[in-house]
Amino acid sequence: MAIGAALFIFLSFYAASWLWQKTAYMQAELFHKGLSGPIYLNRLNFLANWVGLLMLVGAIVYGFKIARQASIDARRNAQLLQETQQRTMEIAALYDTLQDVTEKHELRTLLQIILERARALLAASGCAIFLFDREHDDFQIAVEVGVGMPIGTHLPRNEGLAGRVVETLEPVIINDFQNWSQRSMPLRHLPISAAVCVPMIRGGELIGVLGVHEVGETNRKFTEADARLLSLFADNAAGAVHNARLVEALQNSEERFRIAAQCASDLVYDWDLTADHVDYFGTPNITPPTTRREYWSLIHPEDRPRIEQALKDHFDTGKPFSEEYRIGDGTGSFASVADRATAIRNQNGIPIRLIGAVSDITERKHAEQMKSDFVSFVTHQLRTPLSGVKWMLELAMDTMDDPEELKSFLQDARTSTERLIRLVNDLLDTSRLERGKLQLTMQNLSLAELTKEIVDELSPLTLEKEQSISIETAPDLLQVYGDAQLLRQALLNLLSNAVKYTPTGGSIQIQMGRDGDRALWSVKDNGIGIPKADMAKLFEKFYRAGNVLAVETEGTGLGLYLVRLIVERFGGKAWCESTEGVGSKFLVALPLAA
Amino acid sequence: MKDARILVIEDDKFLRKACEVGLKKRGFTVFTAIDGEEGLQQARANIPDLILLDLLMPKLSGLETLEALKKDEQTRGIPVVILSNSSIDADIQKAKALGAAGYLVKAALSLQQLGDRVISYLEKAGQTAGIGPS
Repeated sequence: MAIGAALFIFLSFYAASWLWQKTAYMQAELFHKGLSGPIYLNRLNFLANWVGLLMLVGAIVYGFKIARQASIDARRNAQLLQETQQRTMEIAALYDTLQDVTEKHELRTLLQIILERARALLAASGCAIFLFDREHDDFQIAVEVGVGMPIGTHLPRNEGLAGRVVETLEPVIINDFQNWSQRSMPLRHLPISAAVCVPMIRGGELIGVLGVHEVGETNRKFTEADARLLSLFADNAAGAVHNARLVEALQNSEERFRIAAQCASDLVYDWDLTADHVDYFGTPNITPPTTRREYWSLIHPEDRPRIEQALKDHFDTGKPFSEEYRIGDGTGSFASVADRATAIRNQNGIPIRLIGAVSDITERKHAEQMKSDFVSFVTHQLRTPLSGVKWMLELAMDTMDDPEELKSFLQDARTSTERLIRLVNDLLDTSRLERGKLQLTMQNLSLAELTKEIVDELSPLTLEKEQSISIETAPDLLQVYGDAQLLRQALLNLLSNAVKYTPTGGSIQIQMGRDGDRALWSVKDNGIGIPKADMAKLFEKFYRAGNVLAVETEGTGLGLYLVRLIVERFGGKAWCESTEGVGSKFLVALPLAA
Repeated sequence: MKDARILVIEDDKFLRKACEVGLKKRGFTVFTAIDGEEGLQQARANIPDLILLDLLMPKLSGLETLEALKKDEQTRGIPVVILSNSSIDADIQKAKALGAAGYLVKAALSLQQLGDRVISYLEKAGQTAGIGPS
């Protein structure tokens, strides 16, 4: 347009000056010939002269105008260029900055990175992130650099710069911070000179406020461009924080899951049914198999069909899967486990994963077995004298007319009752001693006197079996500190065992002596002795040596256990030395009376 | 049936005595043994019509005795009824597996009931042997 106009003016000017020149030349030629040209030549020349002059002036004026416009355009272009360059730099800076931020980081690390990047982005001296605390509905100073803000401090939601940002959800610039009246209390004393704060929002959710500040004496004034740039950055940073939080939450829940699994001494498995691969959580003692077939082969063959059926039921009907079974370690030994699992199904209801927890219940199973054995044993031991009483009384009722026979049946019933009472007493004593509930009357006791009393009590039995009993006592009177009744029971149990397991005509030797600060009491028989394998368990509850049953079956398995409980209660010790077939020696060491 | 011969293998002297007296009153001929070893000898010597066998006994346990009885050609055919105070399932299963004709828990029975059971076991054994109840 400008060029067209300039060309028109130039051509018009050129045509006018040509016409002027042409007419002037013709006039000069005529003048030279002494002729006077026609009047139109004069007029034409005059016209061309003025038109040319006008055109020249026009051209000059227009040229000036164009030049001025060009200068304005150039200035504008230069400004545009500068702005473009600035933008490019900003975007480049932002890009560099975001590179780090959008990478996967732990939340704390990420906040530090955001902090450093934001500060560098605006080339400022300080930066802070105030994270929104949903629970308290306020802000918490998460990270800060430059001015030493109190990290962790909560700031009221509606106060200070962060408060203002949240109110408007727009960037806020305060370039005269020290004179700004709405400074938040905890930050009031800080030497912040200027600050720009922007909201960190992700998907409509307020994450926090990002602030960049200058510290101390400085002329730095934050601009709208600074705010805009920081906003762009903050949007992305908010997204990164959100993601990091999600990852952290996931890790936390996974960690909790892991800890829970470990606390329950569990092995948690996640079985991909389609790929037949198992992932494990927890710390199993053995390397668990990774395929189902491998796992299946480890289950005890007797348990396998039941487990297969239970799992099938769970898949087919959703019936809860909770089974106990034995699983081998591949070396032939089995552990008992409890397995509880739930299938994850696809949208068609087909199970695709099986997630379950396995706990080792070997110990519990063992304890259950012991308990069950105990109940069975006690049941048997109680039922036998009870049956005796019952049957004897039944016979007695049918024998009313024969006083002699009647008396015999009643006598038998009474003996059975006594056996029953002994058993019940032993059980009660055991229970009380185990629970420490027994009231003790501790006093100084003479071992020799107590032993003599018991031997006298047992004499009908020893006479019947024609056994000889010898007592060897140390010259000094041995006094021990204990409960008379309990000590008596312990010694009685040991002595009656000796009588019971020593054959007819055998001999029993009792010895008492001093062993340092202890009294040592022992009874030695030449009975059946105790097999080596049974020695260690002899003083355990309900334990009965393998060869004992060959002699009699009335024992409760409580006698030696009670001895141990009593002696240990007095601070002493009970043990045994024996050779099977030769005889046994039971020893008791007790603290001497003070 | 009333004159059938019963062997009671029982280590507890009161229970042994009660069984003996109680069954004799019902008209049975009763032999007794105080443990498994003696029980085996008695079974071979007398070939009773039925054996009442305790489980927890010295020397030879009830299950060991049962196994020996079933291995012996002479005694294999004698019906053996376990008479124990153990109601442990494993014991019951083992006894059945070894060929016991029945399992009775002493504490659950009166002597009268014991006599009734003995009769019904004898009848059952008689039927399987092709002899009708007398």
